[in-house]
Amino acid sequence: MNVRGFLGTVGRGLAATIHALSRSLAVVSIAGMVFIMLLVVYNFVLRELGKPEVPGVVEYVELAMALTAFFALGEAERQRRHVSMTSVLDKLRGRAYQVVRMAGGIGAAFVAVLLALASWEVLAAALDTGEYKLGLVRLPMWPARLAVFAGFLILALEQIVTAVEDVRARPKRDDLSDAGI
Amino acid sequence: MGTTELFLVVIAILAACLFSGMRIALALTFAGFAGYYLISGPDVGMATLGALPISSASKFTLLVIPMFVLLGNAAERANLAEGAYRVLGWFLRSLPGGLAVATLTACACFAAVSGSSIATVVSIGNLAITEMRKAGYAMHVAAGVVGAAGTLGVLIPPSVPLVIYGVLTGESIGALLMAGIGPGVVTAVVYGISIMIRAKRKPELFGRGAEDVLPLSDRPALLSGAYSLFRIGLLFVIIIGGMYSGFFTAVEAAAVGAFVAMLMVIVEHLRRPREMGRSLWSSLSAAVSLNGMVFALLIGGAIFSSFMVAAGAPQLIADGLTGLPVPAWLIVALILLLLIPLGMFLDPTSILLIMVPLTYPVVTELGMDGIWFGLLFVKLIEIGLLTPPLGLNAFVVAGIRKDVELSTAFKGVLWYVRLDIIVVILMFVFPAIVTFIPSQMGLTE
Repeated sequence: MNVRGFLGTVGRGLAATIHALSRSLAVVSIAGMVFIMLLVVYNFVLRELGKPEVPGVVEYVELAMALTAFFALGEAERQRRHVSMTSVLDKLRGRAYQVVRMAGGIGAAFVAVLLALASWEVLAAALDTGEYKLGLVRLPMWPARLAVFAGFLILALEQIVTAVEDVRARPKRDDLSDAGI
Repeated sequence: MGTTELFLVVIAILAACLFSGMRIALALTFAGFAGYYLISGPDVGMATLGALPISSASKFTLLVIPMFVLLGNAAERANLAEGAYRVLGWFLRSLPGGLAVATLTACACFAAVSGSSIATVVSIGNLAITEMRKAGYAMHVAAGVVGAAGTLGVLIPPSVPLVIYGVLTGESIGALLMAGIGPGVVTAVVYGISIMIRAKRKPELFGRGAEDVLPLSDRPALLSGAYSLFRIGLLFVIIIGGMYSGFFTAVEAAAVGAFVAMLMVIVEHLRRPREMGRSLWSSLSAAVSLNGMVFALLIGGAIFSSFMVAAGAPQLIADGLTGLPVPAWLIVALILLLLIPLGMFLDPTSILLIMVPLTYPVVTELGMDGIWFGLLFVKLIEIGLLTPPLGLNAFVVAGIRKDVELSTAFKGVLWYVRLDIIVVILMFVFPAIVTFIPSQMGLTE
């Protein structure tokens, strides 16, 4: 196997691993969403039956919202749901397209890494100080902080995978000319 | 660096990021971070990136968004749309352009339970275009009514853009959702009347009519259609009736609606457990990826607008505009007009996140009603779903049907843009179209 083939195999393996991580986090996100739905419905039923409501619904929901929102970031990228403005990019061909698309991808990954770094500091502080959510019940904040960090990290990795896939999928100018396009 | 220069630099950074194809959420984040970096240094920028994402995405009221998204995805998989469309097509068959009116009515009904323009187009589009083509409708007419009627999902509650507007401005989400009913109904009525007039004037575009196209003589088809309409009615009563009567808060209505829609998916596939599992999983999975997209935009928008507010942009704009020697209504009209070209390049959520924090303070300072402005805002960005080059609904119609060219879809939906402009003028001149229902409920002054 030549170097190019080897790198291609490693790249595909890495991409598959990153996609699998995104899917795994998405399962936690789904669990969070279902938990929120069932909790709010259960609380409503209790209230209508004249029974005491679940203490700390707001705190539980807000914690689950963090899991639902941030663990979904990578999966949204894997499924190409995040929106972008492609009107300029679509007009480019060949090398120009590859350079601009890759720059956009690396830039996007850089921003997501910045977000992950910033949230890592907040997570570390939450773990150090034993931060908890103020409210009717004392819930630790670190799971929510961890979700933010993990969500942005996987988003950064998915950004790179998407950019590489886009650049590889787009035909070069010569190929287009040969095809009469 | 002066304030104006600072804004210009940040806008240039945002534009460069957007043009490079960077995800809009991350482009907004970077522009906001760069702005903070320029005015206060890297530490404040990083602190903002650390603090704002969680505070902007894990609010209790925001749970309405994942629940509405889940509700829309579940409604799509509970097969509510097809049966309803068949019954409506049968009932409305004698009207001029009857099938197009039936498509419009079915879209309005489905929009009232799904809250998603894409879900509405996907659920009804394929069947509706097939039936209209069988009846001899021109392709652009069939594609156009499906794409345009899909936009009703943005106005008629449950509506995610209205929830985002409420989150950004602090206006009551319940009041905004109820205020969406009036403009949604007016839009549907204007569309319906115009379709009938067009069918009378140009019958050749509407084929031979709907006779014998949707046979409902057999009892199972009729019952199945009636059952679909009943389920749509049930969801509507739960969501809208529950909120209107005060039985639910908006948050509870969203969660209960999503729960009932999931139950409908289960009941629909009760005899096919494997298919039931697949449908439930695909509802949840599709909802998660859509949530990821919406929340990423909310986070990016929060960081960008936080910088704009910190740097004094809304005040600068407010001072500039309120000082102009023109009536307040003209300033609001100019702000709203600006949304049409923006809608040609940005998606509705991004426009909301960028423009609402800048324009809402101006409009309220001018003494205008925030809910009225919100509905006009959403109505105008809804037009962006129809206009090229980013008219999402035209893309969806062309995407679900291989025989519909994108240019044909755009030709079809653009006919409705002029009608939308008429509705916007009506909403502008008669604010009661927006404010009547929430004021009847005591949700507004």
